[in-house]
Amino acid sequence: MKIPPSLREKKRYVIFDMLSDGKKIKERDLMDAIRSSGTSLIGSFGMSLCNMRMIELNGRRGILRCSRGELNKVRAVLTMVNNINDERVAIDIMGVSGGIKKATHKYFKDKKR
Amino acid sequence: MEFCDCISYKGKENMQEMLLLLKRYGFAGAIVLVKDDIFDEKIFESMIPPREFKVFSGIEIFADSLSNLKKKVYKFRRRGDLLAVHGGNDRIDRMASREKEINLVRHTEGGHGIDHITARFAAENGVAMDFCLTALIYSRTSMPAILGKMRRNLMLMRKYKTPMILSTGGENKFDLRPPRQMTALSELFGMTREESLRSLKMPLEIVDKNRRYKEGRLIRDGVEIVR
Repeated sequence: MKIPPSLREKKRYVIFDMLSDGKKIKERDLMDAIRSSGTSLIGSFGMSLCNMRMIELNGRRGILRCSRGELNKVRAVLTMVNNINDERVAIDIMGVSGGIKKATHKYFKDKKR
Repeated sequence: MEFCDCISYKGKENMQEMLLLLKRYGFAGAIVLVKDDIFDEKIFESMIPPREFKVFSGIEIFADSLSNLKKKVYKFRRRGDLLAVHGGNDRIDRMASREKEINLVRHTEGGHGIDHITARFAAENGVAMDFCLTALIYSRTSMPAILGKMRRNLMLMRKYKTPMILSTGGENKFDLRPPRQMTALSELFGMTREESLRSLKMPLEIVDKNRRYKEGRLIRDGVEIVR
């Protein structure tokens, strides 16, 4: 069942860049690492408020959707990610956008608008 | 915004990568802290910093006893741009906060954290306390304890107006984080946005003050030769 746009939860799209030693990282592994570090930092309740969802992962760059009010917590959670499948990583947040189209256009230049 | 990060020296090649990454993250400079037993001015001469990026030399003293700490402070006090002490031990933290020659006490979240007397001495002597984020990032099991100590340290530092520094304390490129993410993480232990921004700028202020002391322009706090 769809609810009207005015009643929907407001979202933000976080565009990030992963720093790793070169191995390809799967979307599922990354999300597991984010969930694990987030749960240990802000707990399950905090993570449920953040409402994170991976929209796209294109090599090192990706777009993560989260709720608007919890943006700073999401930043902190992404900062805490340091290991995915025994490989060291660091996540750098490049920018935050209010719309997915703008985010894709600005940070994934190879894609058409 | 002139932000500066404090990082630890672990090899020359590693350091170049780190400096480039810090520049990309938007830092204006970095203080490279070298362990006291391997400190040499030649390390900094051979370093090639990125353009429009400042690199300052720092010494990190590791001491296991108070007498050892005093000896090392006396030995290194006029060398480098910044003199730091690796804390984490209550007695070392207290002793370091009483020394005017020391600029920074790192890893204060170790041990039992600082107490009100250490915070007061540090404020009186202008010794800054460091909130090292790698300690938080790499502590999976004891994260609540470290967050709690950081929160208590912050409360005391606020009360006595102790200078504070927010740094990653990284040893390789994976430990470094952009300033905005550092600010977001510091909010978890109660730092306000203004405090975290001030803490990110504090290392440059300390280095600037030390340089003015060395050049003879600053005679003591509040007395400066202008012309």
